[in-house]
Amino acid sequence: MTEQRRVLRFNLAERAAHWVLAVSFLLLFLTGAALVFRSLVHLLGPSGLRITSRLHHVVAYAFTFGPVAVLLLTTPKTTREWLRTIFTWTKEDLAFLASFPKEFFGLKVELPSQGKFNAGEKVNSLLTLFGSVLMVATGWVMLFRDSFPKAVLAWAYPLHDAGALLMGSVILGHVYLALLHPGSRESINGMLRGTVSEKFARDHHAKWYEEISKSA
Amino acid sequence: MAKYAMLVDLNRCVDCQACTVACQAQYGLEPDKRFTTVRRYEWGTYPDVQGAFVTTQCMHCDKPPCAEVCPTGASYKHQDGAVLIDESRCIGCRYCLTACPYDARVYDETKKVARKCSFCYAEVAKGKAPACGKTCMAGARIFGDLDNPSSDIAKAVAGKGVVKIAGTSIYYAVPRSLERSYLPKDGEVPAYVSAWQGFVQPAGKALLGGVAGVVVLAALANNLRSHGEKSASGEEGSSHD
Amino acid sequence: MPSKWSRRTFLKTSLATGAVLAAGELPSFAGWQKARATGKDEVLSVPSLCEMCGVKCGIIARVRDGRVVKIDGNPKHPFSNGKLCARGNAGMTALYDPDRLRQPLKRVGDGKFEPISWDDAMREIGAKLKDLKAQFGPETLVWATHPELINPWEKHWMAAFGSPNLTGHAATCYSSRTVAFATTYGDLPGVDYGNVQYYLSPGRNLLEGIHNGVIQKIVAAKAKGARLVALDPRMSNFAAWADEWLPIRPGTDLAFLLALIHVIIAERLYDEAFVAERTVGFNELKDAVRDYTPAWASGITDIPAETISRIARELAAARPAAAVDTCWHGGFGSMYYNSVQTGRAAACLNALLGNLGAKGGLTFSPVVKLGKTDELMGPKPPKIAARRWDGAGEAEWPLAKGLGLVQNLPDQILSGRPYPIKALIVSHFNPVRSCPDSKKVIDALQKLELLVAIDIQMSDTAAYAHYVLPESTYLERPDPVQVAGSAVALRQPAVKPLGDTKGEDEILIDLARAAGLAENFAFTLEEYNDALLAPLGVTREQLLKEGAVKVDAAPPDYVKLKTPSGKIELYSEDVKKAGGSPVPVWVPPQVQPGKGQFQLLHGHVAMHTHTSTDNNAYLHALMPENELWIHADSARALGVGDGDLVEVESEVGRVRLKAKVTQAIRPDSVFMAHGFGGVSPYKRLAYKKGANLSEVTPVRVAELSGAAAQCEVVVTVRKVG
Repeated sequence: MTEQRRVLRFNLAERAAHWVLAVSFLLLFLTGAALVFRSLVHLLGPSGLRITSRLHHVVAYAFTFGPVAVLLLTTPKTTREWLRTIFTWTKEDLAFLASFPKEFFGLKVELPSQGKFNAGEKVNSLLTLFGSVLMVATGWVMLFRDSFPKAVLAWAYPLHDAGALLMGSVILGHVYLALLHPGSRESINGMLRGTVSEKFARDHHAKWYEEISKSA
Repeated sequence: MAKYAMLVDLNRCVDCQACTVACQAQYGLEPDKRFTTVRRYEWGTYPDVQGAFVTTQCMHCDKPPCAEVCPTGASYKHQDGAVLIDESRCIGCRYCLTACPYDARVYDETKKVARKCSFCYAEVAKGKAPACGKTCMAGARIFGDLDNPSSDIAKAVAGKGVVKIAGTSIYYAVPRSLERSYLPKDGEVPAYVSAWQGFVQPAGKALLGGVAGVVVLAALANNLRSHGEKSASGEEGSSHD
Repeated sequence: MPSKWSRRTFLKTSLATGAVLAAGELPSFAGWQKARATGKDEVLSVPSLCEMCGVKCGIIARVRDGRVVKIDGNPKHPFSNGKLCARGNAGMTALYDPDRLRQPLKRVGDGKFEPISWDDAMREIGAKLKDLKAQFGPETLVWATHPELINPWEKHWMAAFGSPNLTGHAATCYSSRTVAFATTYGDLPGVDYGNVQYYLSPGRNLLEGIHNGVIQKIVAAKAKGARLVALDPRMSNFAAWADEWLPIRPGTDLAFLLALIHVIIAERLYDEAFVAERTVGFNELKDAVRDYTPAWASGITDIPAETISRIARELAAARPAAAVDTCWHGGFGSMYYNSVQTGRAAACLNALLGNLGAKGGLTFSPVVKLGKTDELMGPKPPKIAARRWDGAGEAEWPLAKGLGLVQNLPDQILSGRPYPIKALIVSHFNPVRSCPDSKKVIDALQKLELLVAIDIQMSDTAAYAHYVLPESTYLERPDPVQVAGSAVALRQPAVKPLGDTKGEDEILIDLARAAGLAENFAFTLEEYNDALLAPLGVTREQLLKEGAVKVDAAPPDYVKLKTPSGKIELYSEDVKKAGGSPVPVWVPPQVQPGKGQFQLLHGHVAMHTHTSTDNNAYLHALMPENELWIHADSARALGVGDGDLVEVESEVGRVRLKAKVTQAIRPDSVFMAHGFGGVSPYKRLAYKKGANLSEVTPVRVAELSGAAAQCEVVVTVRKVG
């Protein structure tokens, strides 16, 4: 059997940024959970909570500066491309989204061809991007509480909480699709090794496969 | 069970700040941290100028927003009416400092907890008066149990010119010339607290739970489908997808 | 510090001082907090007397693990009745002030001090005193003090030394008031505040120049419906709290009071029987006020004539439960050149109301007959031949006996006239900021051959001393018995001295030995107090337990007064002999602000005491600096906004502080609180915060009393920041 050829989807920088974001987000979500889910309070106790709070503040630095630094300093061109892509929406993107719920629940459906990022991934990117900005902005207001007017600090709390619960929900879907969903779970390789199989690329990101084949 | 309240007679208060310091001394507060303050207000145009002194402190709200936002339950409303802090449970997150509409709480930098007026609960439990009222040269602070009709406070709140700060445990006897706007505002739960605890929390958790549910359903659905396909086609081995 | 200090000197000094102050185990504020929080539960309650101001209320110090954790009022003491003001409550932060003096110090250079043992300090001071005494006579030593409970010992010490120059602060505080009432009533009356139905205050600010017991009573009176009227160029806290604020032109209260007398006499509203039986000189008074109509007074005071007439009638209608305050510093204690006449007018007005000894009127203190201590205190010192340095009680100032003219001290030291003053001992007193013309005081201090300061902190005056003798605070020492109304009270230490400090009783005994006066100080404080208490049927042990005990006190004699006539002297021969008008007459203030100028007024604030609390952590946090009160229109004309830095300049100096733009003051006046502008870098919280009032206050001398007339100051104000 001929070995499947593989195509580079995400470079090292993209992957590094993703994993810094992912791991720090997970830690932030877990360490922030106790302040949102009161049942965890008993589990940790006041000293435990002070520790998770401190940890939350420390990891916040990684979440804030890590992904941005990696993306902008080491792979600015790709980052610009990504940003351009996720803000560009075609008729195919909308059609993809309309059909996606069927595909999500395992029903056979014809999905229009997509670029490097399918419409669902674009939605995920946008939600993650805006969500992260919101979390960073509101988070740092709370961390430097004395430097902001009381009204700004006050609204930071519900916004940070809302952002956490929203992003948590998004991540649940994202992790399912990345690790378990039959139609998409091969993409995890793209984020681990950087490459996906040619077949995967042709089947799921045909438009993108065409572009990179042309330039190769 | 009691219903603790305090009335400050602003006709008597002389703006001496003794209450401020007595309370600081009682609780070993840092010099810039206070549980109660006194302020002088003046209005009018010379020579027709008038003035008055107004004390502020924790209002021991009926529906304390500080307790609502406290993640550990350290801040709570006691059945006696006092809003108290169990300092051993406080983690110093300071959500409560922001939530208080009266800026009545302080953060103790040494103990790393939130603190505030407790109506001198520990002293009151021993039958003593709160530190502020105890030292007041003008006898301007009356504290006690509203549910006891023979108490000084019960009689005082029935007096003339008494304003209750609605939704709180604090009353003022007010000089006729002093407008309501100089007194602390009526008790309220700040909009952001309602938005936070009343909407974001339940809605956000529902969303999270909902998405989790959908994901589980999808996983099951996809599992059933692939099982179904396998049994239908009778194929062995893994399918390349 | 003024010119003598360069920045380099200050830095070197502060490092050295830091070493001096930081050595040893004086607990820091944080340390006190920690101890307070972690100490054992058992609390000792020690009754004693406060000394955060001159009133000395009864307190109960709560002590845990050898640390004072709280101070409450002693319910048994008549001044406190269990309550305390902000200063009394802040006693711990005075006790645990990290900048406190903790060992004797000797000056070794400009602003540089080194620790010295008590023995060495006493030996050197004693030798120097003997030396100066031999050269210039014992009168070369002046002892200046704010008299405290230990004052009788200071009197005795100076008598033994042979110097007539024990000098209190009276001239910068209450001299004019005392002269006015002593010449009218023979004694100094107080007011039965609790029962007044109509109360007129000519400039006294009961709410900020605090007497704990008085506040309790005036609050009760107000609650019972008393009408309170405040004469004040500024709406002080008392004026704001009272029923009526009359923004009177500075220094013209005399005209107001004379017009009240005029109306009350003209409309026959006075107590005719009382006047006939209990006063002398009514006809002379009546003649004197003939032209002092409300219209006349209105032009001078800026108060409408109808108001003046109305106040007169209201006051009289409430008699005898109607009183004009007898004042303290505020009002006519030492504010204006005409303060004695103002006080005399107030005294006479009270007499017309027939209120002496009446409920809600003027009162004398009950007479507590303490035991004699002469025998105990050693051989009676020989009569002193030398004349007082300031002439108080003598030909030039016959009415100032016992009061002194402390504000003239710098001039005398600098000029050497009438005779050289080479040595000054200062106890519980800070002339650098509490006497007028701060710069001149400093110049004079630097000319002395011996300056000894006895204080609990490195005051601005102590910072110039040759020797600084650290006194234990009131929480660390005992003192002579106090008479409080019809009770006696005792101070006792709540904790052992935190540093190498002593009570002034010990200091005086040691100083006496060093100066060759041992035979006059061969007794202890305990023996002294026992002697005082002997006839009263109260023991020291009782007092140590209760703090204050009521004793049999003879009611005062309201009928036979200590005046030459035995009656209230509306006409005073003594005043005439002293060179003043024997009946109150109009005397204008000495200064008047011209265009673009302001009269500079001053006063107290409720959370501070003179210059002694500005370094107290709790009190400093409540008010770290003073501000210049200035009327909004005046401020606008100068381009000054609220909070702007302004420079205030008088004929003797200039200071800077932030402006407080307000409607609550006359446009021709400005005001700053006394007690700020710290000159001593050793008091780190207080140093250079706000403005030093003394730096812009010229030395004045009021007629008849010799008081310092400290509001006779005209200033200009300009924006600098």
